[in-house]
Amino acid sequence: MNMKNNGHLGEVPRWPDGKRIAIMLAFDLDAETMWTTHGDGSVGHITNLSRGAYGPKQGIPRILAMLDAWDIKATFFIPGIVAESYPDVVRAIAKAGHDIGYHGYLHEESSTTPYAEEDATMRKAEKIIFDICGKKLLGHRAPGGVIHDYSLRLFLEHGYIYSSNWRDCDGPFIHEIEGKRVPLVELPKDSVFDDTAYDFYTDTPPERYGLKSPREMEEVWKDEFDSLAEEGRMINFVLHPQFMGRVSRIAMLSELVGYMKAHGAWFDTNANVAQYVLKANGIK
Amino acid sequence: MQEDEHIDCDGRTTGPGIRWPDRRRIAVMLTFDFDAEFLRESRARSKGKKIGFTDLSRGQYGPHEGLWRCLEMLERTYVRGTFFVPGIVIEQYRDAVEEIAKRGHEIACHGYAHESDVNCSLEEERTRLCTCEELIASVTGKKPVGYRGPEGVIHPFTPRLLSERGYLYSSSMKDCDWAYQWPDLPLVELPNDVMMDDFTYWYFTFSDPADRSMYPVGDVISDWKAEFDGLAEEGDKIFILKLHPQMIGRGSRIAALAAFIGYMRAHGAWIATCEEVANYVRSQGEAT
Repeated sequence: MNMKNNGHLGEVPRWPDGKRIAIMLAFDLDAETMWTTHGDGSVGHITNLSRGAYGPKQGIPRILAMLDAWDIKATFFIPGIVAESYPDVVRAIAKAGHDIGYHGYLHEESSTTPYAEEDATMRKAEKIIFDICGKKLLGHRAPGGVIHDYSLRLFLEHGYIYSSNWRDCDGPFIHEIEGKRVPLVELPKDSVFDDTAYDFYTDTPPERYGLKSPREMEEVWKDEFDSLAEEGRMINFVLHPQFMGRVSRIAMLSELVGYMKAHGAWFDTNANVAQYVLKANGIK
Repeated sequence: MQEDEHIDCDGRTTGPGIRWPDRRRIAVMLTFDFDAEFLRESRARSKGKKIGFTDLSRGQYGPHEGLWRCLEMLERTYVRGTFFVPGIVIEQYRDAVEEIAKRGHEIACHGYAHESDVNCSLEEERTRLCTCEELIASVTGKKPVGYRGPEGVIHPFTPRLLSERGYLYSSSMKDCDWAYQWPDLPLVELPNDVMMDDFTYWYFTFSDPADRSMYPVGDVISDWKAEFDGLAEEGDKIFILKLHPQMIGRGSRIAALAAFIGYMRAHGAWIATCEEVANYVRSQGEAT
């Protein structure tokens, strides 16, 4: 697979209603899988695992209330096992009209998974979420950012219209397979818009120190927003309810949303932005 | 969110909707893990390292200097705190621990040598608790009612064990900002978080490759204030400061903490010991 974006940077569409920038608030609801895939997996370490539970248990109600107050639709990437553990949370997210995307079953981060196994894992997670809330998954954000040389083909076979995995540009762009454009939009992301870069503190190996304040995050994001809005681009956030769901972070995010709304932001889901980009490019 | 939209994810949440006494907006607990040098020794051990004189001496800043500032400050601000004290600290610094008790603060259990072994067995933990309870009773005249795992580590069997031994509360989990009752156990959980832990900002060592930095005290207090404000606004939450005399006990930090206590008082905080809050939570649970 060609991992380059094939020079499609020029295809950035004008956003609807004269908006200057597309903003996707996207939440990776990893819950305990953040910790089962960290270091030795926190086996028997119930307080580490409980930090993961903070996401669905405490973070999600705050996030849903904040999104509701601003009338914003967001995207939630949910591993299958998290959906199984917290079906009420998945139903609440779906009922509020948010988009749900694929994020593994166990938050699998292996780079050597064969095609058939990956295909089966995707079907399993899709079925779990569909059975809980009746939502069909339309896009893919890989656990741990790990994708495979067959991934684009697999996304198309599963009927996905977007991927949020590339980090090589500020996007969006249309993917190609063997030189031919396919109906699959890349909505790239980066660590600069990922709360784990600021908030993932742990003294359990591999240790991560340097917890940042919400003010520092807001400053970084606001500066980046201003320049990307000027260029007419997009931002796809990577937020984890177990970190961003703390009340001080939600207060900051709500302020930031207000700022972005006042400065020409179009807020929508990954699926809706992808659909818009496909249409703007005359695809489908 | 509306009441009927509450997401009760795991069936063990009794916290949502609680109302604090005297129309207070939030229950605040100032907790001090009085670990002395054993915090540093046990942490290094769990990482396969040993500490040298500098870390030993950093740890002893707690009993030699920091603790006394903490006690004076609590006296001046009329706050009764909760001190989680490992058994070995009682043996090594008995006078200091007796002074804590004499001033009316709560003394709770925190392991013997600050053991943070995730693979510890039920028998080991039971034996250790037994030793520590006797040591605490030798100072206070009664068994402790609260427990916090060293480095926050507790085991799947710990809540039941604590309950069987007559404990009222545990304060180790990090799954929410509510106090809650463990399922099928008469045990209250008072969760805390790394964000409200001075260890996150001021633990410094060269004994392992940890790359840690020092935060200005104003930045830390400002983050705590943002968290306090939001939780107080929600009305049914708790706010636990998890402090270590060897870190919070510096002059500048104690001064800032005293001012923050004033701020919290002026903004609806009920400042109490963990025992008082846990008793209140339990009484509310029984009332419904």
